Amino acid sequence: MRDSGLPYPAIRAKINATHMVGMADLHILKPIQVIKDYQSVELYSLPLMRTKGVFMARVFAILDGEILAMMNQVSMIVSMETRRVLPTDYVCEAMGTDVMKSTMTAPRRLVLPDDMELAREIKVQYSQCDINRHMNAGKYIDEICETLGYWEGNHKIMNRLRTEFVGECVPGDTLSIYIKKTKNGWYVKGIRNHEQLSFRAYVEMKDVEDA
Amino acid sequence: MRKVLDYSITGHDTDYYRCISPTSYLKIAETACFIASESEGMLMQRMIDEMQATWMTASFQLEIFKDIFYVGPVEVFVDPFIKNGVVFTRTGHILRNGIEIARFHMNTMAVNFNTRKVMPPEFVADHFGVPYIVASGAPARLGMPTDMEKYEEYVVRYSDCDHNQHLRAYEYVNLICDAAEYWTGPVREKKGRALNVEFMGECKAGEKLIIQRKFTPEAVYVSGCRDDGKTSFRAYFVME
Repeated sequence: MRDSGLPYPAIRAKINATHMVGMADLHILKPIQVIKDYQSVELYSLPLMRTKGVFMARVFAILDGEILAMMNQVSMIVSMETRRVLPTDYVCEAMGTDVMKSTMTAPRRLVLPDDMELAREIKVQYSQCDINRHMNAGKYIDEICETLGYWEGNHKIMNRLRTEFVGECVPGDTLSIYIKKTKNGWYVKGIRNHEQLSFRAYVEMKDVEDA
Repeated sequence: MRKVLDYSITGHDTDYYRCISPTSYLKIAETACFIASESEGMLMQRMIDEMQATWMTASFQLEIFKDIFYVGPVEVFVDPFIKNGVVFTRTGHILRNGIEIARFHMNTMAVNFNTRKVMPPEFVADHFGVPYIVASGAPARLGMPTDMEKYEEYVVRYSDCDHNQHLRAYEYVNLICDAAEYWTGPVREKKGRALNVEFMGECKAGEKLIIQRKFTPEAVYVSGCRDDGKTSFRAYFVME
């Protein structure tokens, strides 16, 4: 976003807006365990693209010439005042930049199963929140991994983690996390204050022995 | 004093009120201390391989002189290692545009990875030929009030833990800031000025931590106690 003429300080100053992640779809192709003193990963990205409402990026993490992971990310520029998504035409014109329009539509949304079960409830803390005054995207990922027992029991490898951020959680909110195991992976959803959908997620992981 | 790190403050380092939180300062300090030690020859992986040892933070003191609200570069300078009893102290200075905005003192111990017993720090430093200054002794311990009130019970999560398989130092600082109502309470947008944290007993994933606190005119005291009764940490946090 920064290199495409949409750095956070500038959009904050010029149009009183901020970046928010709408969806992050992570594919882990080769898991790594850090055993050396230094391991440098290179990040490459395709040019930023946009639809009417969102900006889309694809990023690759590469180690020693090998792709470790790929992530498709959908981001929005959101008004700090109204919390509404600003049209990308307006954003690009206001910021004096041009981001290529995609001929494809934004990725389709996850369809969640009906019969998901409550697994955990947490209370959102200020320390989990970021500059946008809501729960940080990375903290949702932590909670998804905790709920699915990613670090418990056998050593696991995660192949895919797709998270759609639907409704922001603020400090003091109760986030109820529901899960459903299917043949290929796990569906996870978060409900804010027992009412509003906060996020949807899909995770594929397996034990190292089965990998 | 020598420069060890050019660090770019990004949105990820700023908190609910766009300030660099004490947690972020600790992360920057840990990074700087790691780089400083490694550049002096004390390589973490060699410590594990050759000495079955790892560094653990015994305590951390932070002073914040100037608040900054904008992303951008800062420079981190460190002083030489000072041996204070069983800890090594590394003092660091964080500067923006040549002005010191924060200062930290990181007190670390060399610990056997398997037995978790503290090793004499000179044993490790001499093994790697790392220079240090011998000082007068370990920093004085915090004196805590006796009438602290329970704030909450916190169950340590796996995502809170690091490669030492215990609660990370900066997650303690998050707990302290939440308990101290740093981001909330009667006066919003408080500024952190000084933080002193002593890490006394490590917490593993799944363990329960009972957080207590006491507000006084000069500071907030926060402590954490494990289910087995052992104190896990003590802290003293000055805000304005």
